[in-house]
Amino acid sequence: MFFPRFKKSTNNNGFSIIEALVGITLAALLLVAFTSLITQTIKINQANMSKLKATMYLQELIEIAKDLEQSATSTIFYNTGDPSPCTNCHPIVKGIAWEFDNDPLNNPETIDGFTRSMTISPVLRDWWSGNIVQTGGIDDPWTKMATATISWYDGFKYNTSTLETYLYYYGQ
Amino acid sequence: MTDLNTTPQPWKPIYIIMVSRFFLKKKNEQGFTLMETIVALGIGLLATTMIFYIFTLGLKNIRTIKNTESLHSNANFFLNTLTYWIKQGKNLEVLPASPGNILEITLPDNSTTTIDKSLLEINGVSATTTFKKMEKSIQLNFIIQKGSASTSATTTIAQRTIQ
Repeated sequence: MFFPRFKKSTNNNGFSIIEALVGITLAALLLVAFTSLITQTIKINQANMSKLKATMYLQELIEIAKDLEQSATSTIFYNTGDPSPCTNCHPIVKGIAWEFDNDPLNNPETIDGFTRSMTISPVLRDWWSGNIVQTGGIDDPWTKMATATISWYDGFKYNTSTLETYLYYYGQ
Repeated sequence: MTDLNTTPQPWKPIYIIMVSRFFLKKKNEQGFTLMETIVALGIGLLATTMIFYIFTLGLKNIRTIKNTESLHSNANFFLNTLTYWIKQGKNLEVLPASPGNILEITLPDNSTTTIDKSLLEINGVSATTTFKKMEKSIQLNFIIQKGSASTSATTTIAQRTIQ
């Protein structure tokens, strides 16, 4: 026969419960995956912005130490054996000058969700070569180390970042 | 010579009738009930609304992410440029302006350069900046915004007057 008739459909049942469940599950999976993707993207974006801010706030402590290196030499370059002017402290503005706030109740400083502090510590030099050493040298009163630390939560985990710099007395 | 009476004809009228009957025959005369139509329309509407909402939300988030990236790069550029000029400036002055103020930097050759919020206002970003002169540094506050994304920060950049 040239044009055989197609067999007439005898299935009038519609969807079975299994087909419906599979369809709904697939749709739900896609929905969850898409929502999760968007949420993760937003969180990564916020984490990037947090990192930029954290770097800025951390760098600020180093910059303030560099200001004090030039403007408050008698404070920064304290005598050998004296207590450090800043141990886990934070800087505060007084007029047009920076000062250290060493009050334990105010430290570490929390700013914009970031926790930061800094420490000015002595630097040891080898008495013969003058090179900076970690141990075994003598305390150089004209060189100090500024260490700045910041910690923050970026939406995924807690982060801590540290910067160090040397402060030199230029004889002003 | 070909005999026309014995040659098979490819399209005899009977074939045309067979084809017509095959296609014209109604197989299912039931159609959809009103309830089926309403349920189908309801589900379709719900699915369309959900897909549209999710798609719109996704687009909005992508736009916010792009805007935040712009803010990020603008802030980096601003701070890098400011640091470059402040470090080599021998004298810094903050001049009043409206709104905010302007930072005037005098370089070692006595030439001056000024920095204001226009340095931040690139790539469609709007900004507000305020400078405060400290003893040997500049404390600056800036607010930047693009679309629904915005951020603000306060930071300090020290001079380096000892060359």
